Amino acid sequence: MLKFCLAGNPNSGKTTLFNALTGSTAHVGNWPGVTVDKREGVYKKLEEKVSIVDLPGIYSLSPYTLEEVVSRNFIMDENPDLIINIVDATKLERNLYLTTQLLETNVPMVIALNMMDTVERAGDKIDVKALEKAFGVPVVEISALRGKNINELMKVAYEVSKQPRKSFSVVEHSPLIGKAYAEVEKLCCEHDVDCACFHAVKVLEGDMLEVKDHPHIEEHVKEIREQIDSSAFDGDFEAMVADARYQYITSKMPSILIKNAKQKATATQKADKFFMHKVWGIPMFLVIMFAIFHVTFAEDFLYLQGIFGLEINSDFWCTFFQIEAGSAIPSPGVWLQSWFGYLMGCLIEAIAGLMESCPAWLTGLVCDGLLSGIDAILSFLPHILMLFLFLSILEDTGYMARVAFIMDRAFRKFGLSGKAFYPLLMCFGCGVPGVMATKTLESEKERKMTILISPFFSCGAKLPIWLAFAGVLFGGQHGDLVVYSIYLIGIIVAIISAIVLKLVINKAETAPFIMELPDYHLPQFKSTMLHLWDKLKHYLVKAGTIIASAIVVIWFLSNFGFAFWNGMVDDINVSMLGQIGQALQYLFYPMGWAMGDYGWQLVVSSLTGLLAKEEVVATMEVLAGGLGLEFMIATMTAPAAFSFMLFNLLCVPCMAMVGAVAGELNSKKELFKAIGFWMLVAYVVSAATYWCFTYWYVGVIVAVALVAAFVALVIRYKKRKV
Amino acid sequence: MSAIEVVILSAIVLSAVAGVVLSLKREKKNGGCCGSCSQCKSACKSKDNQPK
Repeated sequence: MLKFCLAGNPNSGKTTLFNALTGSTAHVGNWPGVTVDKREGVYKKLEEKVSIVDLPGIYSLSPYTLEEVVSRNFIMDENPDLIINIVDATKLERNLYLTTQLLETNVPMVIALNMMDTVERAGDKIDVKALEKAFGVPVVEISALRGKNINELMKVAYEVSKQPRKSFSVVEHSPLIGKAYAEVEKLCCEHDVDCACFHAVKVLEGDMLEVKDHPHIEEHVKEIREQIDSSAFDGDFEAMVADARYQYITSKMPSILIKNAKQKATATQKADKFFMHKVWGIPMFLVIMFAIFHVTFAEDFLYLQGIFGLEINSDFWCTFFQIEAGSAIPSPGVWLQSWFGYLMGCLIEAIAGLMESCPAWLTGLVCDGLLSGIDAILSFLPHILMLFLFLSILEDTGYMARVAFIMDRAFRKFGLSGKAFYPLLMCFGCGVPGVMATKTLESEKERKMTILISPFFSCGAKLPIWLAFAGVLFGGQHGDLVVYSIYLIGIIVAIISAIVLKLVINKAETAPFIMELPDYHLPQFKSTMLHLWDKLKHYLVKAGTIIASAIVVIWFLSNFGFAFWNGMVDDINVSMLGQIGQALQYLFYPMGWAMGDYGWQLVVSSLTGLLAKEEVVATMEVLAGGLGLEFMIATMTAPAAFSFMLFNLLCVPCMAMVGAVAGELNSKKELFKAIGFWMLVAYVVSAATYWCFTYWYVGVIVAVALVAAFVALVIRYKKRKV
Repeated sequence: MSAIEVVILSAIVLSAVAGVVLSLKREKKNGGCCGSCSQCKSACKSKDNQPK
């Protein structure tokens, strides 16, 4: 089978083209660095099948980043039949820099000029013939997003792949190093180096890998380098080669790109003045996030009842919104959730009706155990999907890339860079890919800090816990504020932890953060739906496997004594789980919530969260018996409820994430330190919340102690600096 | 509970325990990935492409 690879700059549309060619559903995002690994698919519309490989976005073939290593190794070692070089036509000059490097390989190549529609809208023109002449390879105009011309691109690519291509380097046109390059290339040819053109440029640059691979010519190359006047570049040959490439591109640009003389500020530039403002950029982000939480979780939509006294009393609307007479109009998220909960309730009732003649223990296992537990987490599905729909839209429009940029300034003060924002942002969805994405951070200390604070960013699996409490706390009227506050507290605790970790551990400077901001565009329906499908699949797979299995075990342990063959127990407190839970309960007393009527049940629920965080709510539902978890929550005071939520937010994450952290830290000692850190933070924050909000004078004492500790840390840090 | 009920219940509970253990083992094998969503798959695969 033929093998074509897609290579180009980050965020140039490679994965969009890959999905369009192969019918795949790979994750596409409107920010650079979404793809950190190569992936494969098959294109079947030609005479023979073609394997398409989507490479991560790169700016060069120098082996500095993980993405560059993956792409370079593939192109050089795996002999693809053709390279499809995706060039973002709106950033032509910068994108062609990589093209000049790809031309140095002898792999046949086609340039796919993407986003031509945007160029035309701006009134610019690109002369495709001039571009073909300048770089010696065919050029096809495409729109990967709209699937325009992609079959034509593949036809041209197929033809081109059948003919060999002679490599060439634009460096040979450089008046400064052109001659030196020719000499090194000759040297490479004499030593039978494959693809002499590529290796000659890299050896001349002083590329670490090349120098190591070709030690026999290094002495000669040194002599050649000494003959060049490199004083203008401080002896940096890599910079000289880069300059030679840009000089070539710049010299060809006037004939290729005809700019619109009357160009106005683009919509992206206008929007950026507003969204990336140095003063209101972050407050704007917080407001947008609150608006999303309000639309998803608010019982009183747009505060129509709170402000205007608008209530629903008609029977029709009460049934339509699934609310009681005299209630406020619910937000779309709450409305959908009510209907979903109603339908799930009908389904469970129907199944219970069918099982009337079964033994009591079997009915209990299926209805009170399995179905109730799964219902407890699935009933929040509309809320979860809605929240992720909005987050996906923000990501797709390009706004989230801006947030990373505006966060960089704030993050830098805490020892992190804006680059750490991407992994942390992913943690709002699931911590596992978030932790794995930290490998893109160059600084080891920054990476470790990011991993340590990543569980504090509330993942989707924890959302059912907040929703269960939000529906009961404060009469269920301020669900949006409750959920929003938990997310914010998580971020605040992460920031405080980062400050402390920076003062205590991380004395290194934060790596500079350079990123290319993508243009804003309207979210794509297909891409947004794929994100949601991913989330739904993830949730359902977990609910059907580990959560369902664990519910059965929890139900068994909470309904039978150690002599289980004697039958079900009447009192849950004498069950196996009841006895174990009551023994452990004392360890959790300082946090308040373990002292209440359902103390040991809450302890056991938190512990089962180690399997998967969704399990917390499912276990609570099973252990609440017939009364339901709402009744269990209603017996708690507000400080105890918040203390419980914060403990579950901050304590050791699920086993999947612990596994990911273990893999990334690659040291058992570091892993145990991380687990200890999370437990300490969760215990302290949870206990402090309970005692401070239950007894005001404790709050004052703790606040004074915190300020004193912070001042002591700052003084220690300054002394160290001196 | 009759003997047959005890056997059935034990079998159900043991298979549930096996389900939990197998799920955890699969997660451990995948380095924490659930393996069902594209983000996880991509992140897991990239483990094999670490710079040497």
